[in-house]
Amino acid sequence: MKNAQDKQSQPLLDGAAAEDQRCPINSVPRRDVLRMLSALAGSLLVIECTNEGSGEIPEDPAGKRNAGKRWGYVFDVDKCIGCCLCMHACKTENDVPESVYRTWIERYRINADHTVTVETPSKKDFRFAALPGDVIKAFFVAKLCNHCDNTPCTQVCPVGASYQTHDGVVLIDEQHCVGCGYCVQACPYGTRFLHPVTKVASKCTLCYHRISAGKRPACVTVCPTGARNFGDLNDPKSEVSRLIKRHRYRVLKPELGTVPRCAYLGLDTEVV
Amino acid sequence: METGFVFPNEGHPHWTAMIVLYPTLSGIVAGAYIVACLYHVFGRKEFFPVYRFALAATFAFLIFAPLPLLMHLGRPERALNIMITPNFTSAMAGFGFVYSFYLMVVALEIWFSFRSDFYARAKRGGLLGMGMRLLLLGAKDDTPAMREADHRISRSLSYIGIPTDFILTGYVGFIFGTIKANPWWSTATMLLIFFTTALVAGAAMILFMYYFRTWRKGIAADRACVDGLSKYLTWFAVVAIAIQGIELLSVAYKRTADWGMIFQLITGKLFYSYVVMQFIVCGVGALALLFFSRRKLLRDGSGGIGLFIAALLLFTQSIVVRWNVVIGGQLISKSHRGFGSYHVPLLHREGAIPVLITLFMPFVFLFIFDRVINLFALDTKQAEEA
Repeated sequence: MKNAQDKQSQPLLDGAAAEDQRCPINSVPRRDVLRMLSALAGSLLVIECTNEGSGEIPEDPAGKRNAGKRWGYVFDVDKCIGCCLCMHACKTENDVPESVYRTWIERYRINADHTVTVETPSKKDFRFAALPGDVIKAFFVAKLCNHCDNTPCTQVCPVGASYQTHDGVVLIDEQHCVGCGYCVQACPYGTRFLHPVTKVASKCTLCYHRISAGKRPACVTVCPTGARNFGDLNDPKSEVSRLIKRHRYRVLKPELGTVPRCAYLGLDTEVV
Repeated sequence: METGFVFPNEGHPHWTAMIVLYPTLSGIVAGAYIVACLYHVFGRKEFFPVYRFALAATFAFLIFAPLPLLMHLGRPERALNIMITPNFTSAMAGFGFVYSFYLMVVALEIWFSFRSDFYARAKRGGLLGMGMRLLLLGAKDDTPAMREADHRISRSLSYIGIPTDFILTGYVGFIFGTIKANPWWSTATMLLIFFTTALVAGAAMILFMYYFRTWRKGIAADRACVDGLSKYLTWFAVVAIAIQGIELLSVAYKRTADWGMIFQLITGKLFYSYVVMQFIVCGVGALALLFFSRRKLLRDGSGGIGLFIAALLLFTQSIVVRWNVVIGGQLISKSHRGFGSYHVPLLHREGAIPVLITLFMPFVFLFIFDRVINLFALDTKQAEEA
């Protein structure tokens, strides 16, 4: 590094040619001023680098444990009963503030006049209001980060704080994120948010601390009906691989080319 | 108030009034710089009275342009991460480098353009004189040959400055235009909209500030200068408003799945700011006023008030366009089934008062700059010399 700096600064520090090219209007060598300015800029960089968030993206927390794995998520619409235990579990497990959500449940209601009403549970107790009588059909859909293969959020992050692990989980380095919100805008699924306390981007991590320890995400663990499924898509014997093989499924907003790794079984076209 | 179904994390826009302000300031930079270059590089002598002001305005708005971004960042103390660990797949990552480079070019251009003024001010002594001597970095010659050298260097810097100016302005539009998650933003014309309204904003600001300055001095505005400025402003505005119209027309004609939401947006939450302000009052209305006032100017030299108001309206249009893009786009929920809401708070970090203060800071800077060295060449002798 030092050598590179020396090489770069050499023509400015020495050499008759540089001396000749000096602008005649300046009677004091501007090199001194430039040297001072570069020293000042260097100091600023050192201050920034010693600040919290050293500028380095942390190593994949799971290390080589999950090597060769490709995590996927399968949600079975027909099995979900809208109990919202998953929302409770996620909030508790990940200490998610009240005003934001890493995962949530939507209830789709096809009314008698064929209009569609979409609702989320009350923020207070995560309960849905009773269904009115004139409903043709109703179903629940879980939403969470799709951990896309072609992620628009990591693409747009200007500082590289948003990244994808080798096993395909999209994470955020909270010590490095500047909180610009570009990733929040770029995510087509509305699953990212700016954390009201830390002021940086946040989202579902698939409970990476749990799956790295061989456990399942909190939302999957507490789901009483098995609507939420998680596993290794590279393993043909895993539950998610089996479900995808046996059922027809859809992903959300496929036209955007994000290649989500969250598949939905039995999903109606009303859901976006 | 939210209407329809909005995803739970979309309660309010994440990019607020400060993000409206950033492209406004950088737009003024671009327009002002182009006006300066019309005299400086392209030899349009009629712009001599405003050339120095245009260049100073470029610098003033440029140094304050990142302030709204810093005010917006969740963690502003990490702002330099954008240059320390840039992620080059991000359109935003180049900002720090392009901005710093452009600031350096403009600062050098200012230094070479105003060096003899700094020198004259330094000779008067006092505290300000000391400051000027520091600013001169030890340069003590002020001969005609030196001034000529300054002029040559300054003009050479403009050749670098013009493309950098285009990049800095255009890329803001590119950032919005490439967000495929948002149907209101994701259009190919977004870059052009930002760029053309930037030219309008800069030229309009210089025109009304020139009128304001001549009015304060109690002297008549230079007719050739006003004629030239209003002519370029007319062209810039015609192109800008036409592109805005074409964008709406193409989206409406295609009638994609998103059109329903967009139609509801522009006839609902954005009706006043988009239809009334952007297109009718500050768009076609301002353009008509500009056109008729120019005719009066060419006929009998009058029409100054009309031009002043038209310039103010077109300047406002460039802000309204940015508001409609930045805020309007975020009002459409990604659920495509509802609209969010946004009300500018008054005293919040990104509230109305901090926004207005930030918008006026470059003007305060210019006022002080003008007191130190005369930015407007209001003297006819100077104009003749030029």
